[in-house]
Amino acid sequence: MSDVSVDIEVVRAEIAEEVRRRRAGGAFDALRERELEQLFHQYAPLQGRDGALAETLRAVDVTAYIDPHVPVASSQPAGTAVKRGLRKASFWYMNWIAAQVTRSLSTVARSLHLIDDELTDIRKTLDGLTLSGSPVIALDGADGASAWWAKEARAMAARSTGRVLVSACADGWLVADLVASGGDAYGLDPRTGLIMEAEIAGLDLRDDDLLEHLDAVADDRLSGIVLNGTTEALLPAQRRRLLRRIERVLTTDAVVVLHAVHPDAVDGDDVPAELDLAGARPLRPTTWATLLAEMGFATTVAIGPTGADFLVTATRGRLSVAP
Amino acid sequence: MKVAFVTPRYGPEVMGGAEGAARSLAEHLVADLGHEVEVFTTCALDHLTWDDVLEPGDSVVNGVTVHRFRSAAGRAKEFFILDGAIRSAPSAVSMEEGNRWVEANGPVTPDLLDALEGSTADVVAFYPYLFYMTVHGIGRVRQPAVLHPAAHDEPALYLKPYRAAFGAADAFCYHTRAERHLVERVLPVAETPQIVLGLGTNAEVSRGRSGAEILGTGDRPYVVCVGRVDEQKGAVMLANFFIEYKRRHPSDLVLAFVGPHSSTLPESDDIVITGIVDEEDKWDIIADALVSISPSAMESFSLVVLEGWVKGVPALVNGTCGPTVENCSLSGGGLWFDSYGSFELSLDRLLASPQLRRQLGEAGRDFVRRTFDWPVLIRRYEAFLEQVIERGRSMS
Repeated sequence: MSDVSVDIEVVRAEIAEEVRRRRAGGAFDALRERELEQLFHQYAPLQGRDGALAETLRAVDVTAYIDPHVPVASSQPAGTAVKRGLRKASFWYMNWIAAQVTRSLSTVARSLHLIDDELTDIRKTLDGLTLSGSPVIALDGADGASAWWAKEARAMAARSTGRVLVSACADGWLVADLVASGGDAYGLDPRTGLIMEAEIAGLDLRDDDLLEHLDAVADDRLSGIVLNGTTEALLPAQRRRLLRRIERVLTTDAVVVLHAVHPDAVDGDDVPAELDLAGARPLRPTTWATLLAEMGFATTVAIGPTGADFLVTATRGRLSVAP
Repeated sequence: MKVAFVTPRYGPEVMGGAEGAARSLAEHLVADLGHEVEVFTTCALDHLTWDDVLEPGDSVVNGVTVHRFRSAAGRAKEFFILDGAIRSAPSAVSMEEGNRWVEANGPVTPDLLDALEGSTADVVAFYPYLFYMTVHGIGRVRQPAVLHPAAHDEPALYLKPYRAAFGAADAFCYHTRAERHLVERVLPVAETPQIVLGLGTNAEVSRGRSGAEILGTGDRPYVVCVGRVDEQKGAVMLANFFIEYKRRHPSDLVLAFVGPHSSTLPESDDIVITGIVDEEDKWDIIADALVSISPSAMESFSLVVLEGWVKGVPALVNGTCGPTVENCSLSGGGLWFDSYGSFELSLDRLLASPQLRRQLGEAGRDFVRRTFDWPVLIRRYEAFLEQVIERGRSMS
């Protein structure tokens, strides 16, 4: 990265604020701005997801008005005059039609805004139960190839006979290890900056959220999953969703490796602030072992040397048999 | 390594788009890394009719062996009626109707698919997803199949035949993360091995002339928009935005459109349209621009933004275009606008600060060098294909 890089998000936020300020102060001609908005949205993709509903509604508003003033520009001599004459002669008719269509579209637009308002209220109410992504919880010194749990995690994941997903894969150290030993592995980590170098170097790493990713995985396609630092900040509904997804995407013969912060360590100062901010409480290792056992896994639990984190390994089907 | 590409059109006569990208990859695999590459394609040049124009048979184009086949059918007359019918609810369209759409879209190429089955390549790359040869070919090849979707958020992506085609791919090669997110949102293929590769930038060339000299704008500063001057590419919108900008901020500033001209723009003394220029003039014009603007909302990658960065020119892109916004965001090399207001303020900010322009331009240049320089990019592609081949061997 260039040493003179600038924070684009800061610049954009300043610009957005200035646009808001000027618009509120009447600095833009509203009619002209509306015409330009119409041009902008003419070929813009309409997106109804990922917070783009407001954008789509803006496009609906912009296009709801039907202009009865038919353009009269012409490349033919006298064409403009002829068109202008026709427009004048038929304006009463065009205006009557356009007014009705505009009225109808405006009613539709208004109803969509009412639905959006309702959805916004519901979203605010459900804010604490959001099912979108959760932060990665990384303890200092507890991640990477030299971490206490790395050897066991590597050995267990390597027993998998198919594709293995490594969550919160950071710089891809475990994915690289598994691939180097002939395995089939890929990684996820929403911290884009961490994965970019290894991704460019050839590892299959993606900056995606775990739950959203699992939604897009076909049934019975993964043979192993490593959950590293991705379960502690999950709210109960998210945890249930994760377990359902894991059950669906894993094959009968499968491995689960789970490394997480121990709940007894949550009150200490070494736990990342993200966990406090998430408002979630990590589960105890025995609880995870019980949940995984309910899915047919044989489990083992190991507590880290400082007691701050733990490792649960789980196998089922033919992989339950010790190699 | 021997690689086969399957693409509906191929050759230097085919400009831009997915087919151009396929040709770049094929030629760089041969020229830079010494691999053997063959291409299975049609005799068509026109993507609207798929009429057979070129001679069928084998030839060698820049070191790449090209096998051309006649199409059994091109674009069907009823295509646009069928297309209109599927648009409102494409995911509800039956498999049979979906297959009819694929056939009507053309080109229908049974001979090509028969020949492809006899290919001795180690890996087959299909580019792009949309056409008959991909839908019906990807499940037929015995080698590992890489799909370069070049997907947009369009109704066809939701049709059932594509679900089967994507499901049969052994790996995906995407232009951008935005494209991957789109595909994974629509189709359950997230676990399939993939790479976000993008496209490589061509070597910059120059005659050493100033951009203003080529444009004939004297000593007036200018911003540039390189690419097709087309309403659908946002050119009309940009021209209107710029005229409004100049009305509100009188100055000597000029907007230069550089590329083939297919839409009528509003007349203005502040707008110059060059039409088609050669590579040297294009690079010289870009080099002296203050800002490179990409107004298009429907780009799957946009090489022209990268070409601006190669010359250290900051970008200003359409905020509804996922791929160009993604590249600006990842590189820190540009801003994006989603209204006239944000266009005006962004342009104002860039024009007012040579330091900001330099910072963004250098960040963009650094990003291109690390990610999209051909030597970097083609090595990444080579390693990816080798992994796909190895994975295919271990699974068979």
